[in-house]
Amino acid sequence: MGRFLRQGLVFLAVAMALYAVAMLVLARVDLHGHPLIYRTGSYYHLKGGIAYEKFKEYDRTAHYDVIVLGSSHAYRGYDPRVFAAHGLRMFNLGSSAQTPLNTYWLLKEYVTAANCGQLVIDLYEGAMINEGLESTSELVMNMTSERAAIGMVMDLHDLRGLNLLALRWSRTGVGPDFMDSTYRTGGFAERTDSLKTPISPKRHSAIRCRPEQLSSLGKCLELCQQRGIPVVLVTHYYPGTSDRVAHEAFRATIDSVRAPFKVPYLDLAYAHQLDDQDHFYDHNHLNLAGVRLFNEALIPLLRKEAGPHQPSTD
Amino acid sequence: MLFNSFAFCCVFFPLVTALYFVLPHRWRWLLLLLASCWFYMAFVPVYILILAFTILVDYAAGLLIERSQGPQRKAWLIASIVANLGVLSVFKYWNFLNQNIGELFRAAGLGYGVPDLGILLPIGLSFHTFQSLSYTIEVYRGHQRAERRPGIFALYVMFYPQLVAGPIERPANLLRQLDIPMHWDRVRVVHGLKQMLWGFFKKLVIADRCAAVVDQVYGQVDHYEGLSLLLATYFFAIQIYCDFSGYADIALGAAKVMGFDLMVNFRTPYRSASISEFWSRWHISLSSWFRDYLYIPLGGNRVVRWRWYMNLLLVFLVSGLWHGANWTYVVWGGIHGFYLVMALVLASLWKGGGEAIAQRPSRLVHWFNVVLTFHLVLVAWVFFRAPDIGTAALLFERVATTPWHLADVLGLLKDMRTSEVDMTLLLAVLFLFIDPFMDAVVKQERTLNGARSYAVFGTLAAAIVLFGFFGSTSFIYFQF
Repeated sequence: MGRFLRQGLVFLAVAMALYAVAMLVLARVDLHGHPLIYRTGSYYHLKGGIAYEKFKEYDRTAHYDVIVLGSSHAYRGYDPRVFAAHGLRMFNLGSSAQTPLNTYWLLKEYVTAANCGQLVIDLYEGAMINEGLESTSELVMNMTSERAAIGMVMDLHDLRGLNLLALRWSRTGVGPDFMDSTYRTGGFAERTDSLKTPISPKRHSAIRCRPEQLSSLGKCLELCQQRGIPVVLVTHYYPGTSDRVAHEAFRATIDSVRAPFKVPYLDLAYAHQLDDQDHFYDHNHLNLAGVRLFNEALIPLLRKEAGPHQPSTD
Repeated sequence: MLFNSFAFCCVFFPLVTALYFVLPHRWRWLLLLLASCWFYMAFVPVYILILAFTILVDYAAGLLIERSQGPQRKAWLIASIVANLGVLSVFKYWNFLNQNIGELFRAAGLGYGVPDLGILLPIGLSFHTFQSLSYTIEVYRGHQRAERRPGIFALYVMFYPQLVAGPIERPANLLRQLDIPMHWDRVRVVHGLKQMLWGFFKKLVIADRCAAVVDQVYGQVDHYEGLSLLLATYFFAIQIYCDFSGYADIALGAAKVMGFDLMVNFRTPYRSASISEFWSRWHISLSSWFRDYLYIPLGGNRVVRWRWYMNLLLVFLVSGLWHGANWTYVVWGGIHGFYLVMALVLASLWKGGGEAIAQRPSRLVHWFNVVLTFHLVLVAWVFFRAPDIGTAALLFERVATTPWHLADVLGLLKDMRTSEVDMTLLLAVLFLFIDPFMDAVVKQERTLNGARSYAVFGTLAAAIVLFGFFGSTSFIYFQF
């Protein structure tokens, strides 16, 4: 058995060395302006863009009245400039297809009771049925926290995560591969365009939230409780043509997760009079006009949930 | 449970293997039986009842056949065959038959209201049915003693490495080994693990990559033109080989780690210089099953010539139907049967020349035959992959009539929304070169010592992590 284990260790060492060399070559040699690695798998995310700017700007030692976490609904739906107009300093840590698995690690490494007055976790069905690879890929390439990157990959239970980490380390010291012109400030990315054609009503299809994502959401709420961070769950405006029946089922699922923690849930999906074409730029993302209306409606609700602690200039 | 899942690789396999060696021999069968039940129930739990039915029927049939004489003996065998094929018919062929009868009725202007059964096909049904049948036939022939221990017989049918996609074992090979106390043998364990690694490489790095292109093109045959359709068909030939032989390598490797030698199922089939050679190298356990239990009982080649041809055609049509309840599989089998009959006809017509070439086959002639055989197999694969005969016909029509523009392939790259097609092509071509070498290594026909072994298998492991398509996609042959 001893010899078997020794053989196993030598094999692992050789495989890891070969892997490291191959990864270094693929990550550092460019083809048509991008590293070769991007031609080997579609799940890799280029370094740069909104997430890159966001983490460069985020200051863990500063105090924010509100921090927002969640998917693209978050980083395109909560505008720090609207919050600032109400005297609130807000930072948006939302990222593409961010799932609770990713939210948990961002929360763990970037949010404390000292730097966050109130935490908003934006919930969206699409993120709960996703395994988290897309978001992990973007975050691992752009986050500043090593622990969060490793933690996310470990929780993903997917060998591709290992490649993401290796790519992150192979690209250390290399600048961003691209910039995103929609990025503004405080983690927010703005879209001003509107839908050109009406959205056809979405037919009902049952959604099944992944158990690991529901469990991660529970872990997020538990961590907030332990750290004493006031947290509010929010679902932002949905187009009127979206699948209301599926959303009802989703809300019931979320209610069962949040119940033990007594966390409020502001489900604003259909609590609005917005026009699908004027206030959305695609089938589920608000444009700037929609964001302003949504944020104006949300801020008083958040104040109410926060109680007397939050600064008010209204 | 899928071999290429986290649950299998990181929990099931290491745990079952470790427990297997820790337990004394008298308890190992129980561990393997429980593990096999767990493995199977990870798909659709209730279908374990179908397996239980097959096991009970054939266990009883084995004992009854052994105790009986004369016509009664045959009657028990027929009862076993009817029960097994009955299960297969209901779960696999009922809807197919029903739909075709419905079509006939409608064509005749008659109404037909018998509904289809709303059931999922149990995973690997054809595999374990044939494996179980081979036991009762062997007992009937007097080649195998009836197994008196129901648990051991159940394990013979359900042994997890080959339960859902073969190899289709014979009692003389597997049942015998279940009684042998297996000991930890480092060299054998390492060989088993190496074979598994090669199987994972074929499945994750080659088959699943090719599948992405194949699915895209075969999903919209009318959207693509000559070169793309051709490229996708070549990819499918590589995909199905790597998918199925990859599964076989993982199965054989996992069994070998515990000390069991399962039947070899593939021997670099695309290096065959004739269709008959192809069938001695492709899915060997199935082709030998049909040879022993259908072709030879029909008279094989010891009959008049036309009957011989009919026997061949019939065996391949049944083999096609075994793969799936769809006319495409029947046509696929029929094409292979036709190839074999044509080869025999041509050989009889061109006896002198054929023998002269056979006596002195030049390297050039040999490779010409290999390429020709591969392309004949490729034509048949179109029917195997296409969802229906109309699609297969459309594909041939478009390959023949649409222009072969490189721009079409570039359009395919765009449709895939990834830049991975070129990588897949590169890996697939590389695979064709290394496959014979690796096949010989994992079958221990060629040895690699020390540093070379570490380098080769270390490279495979690194390549799996770097280039693998993960996401636990199923194996093609599970549906059969």
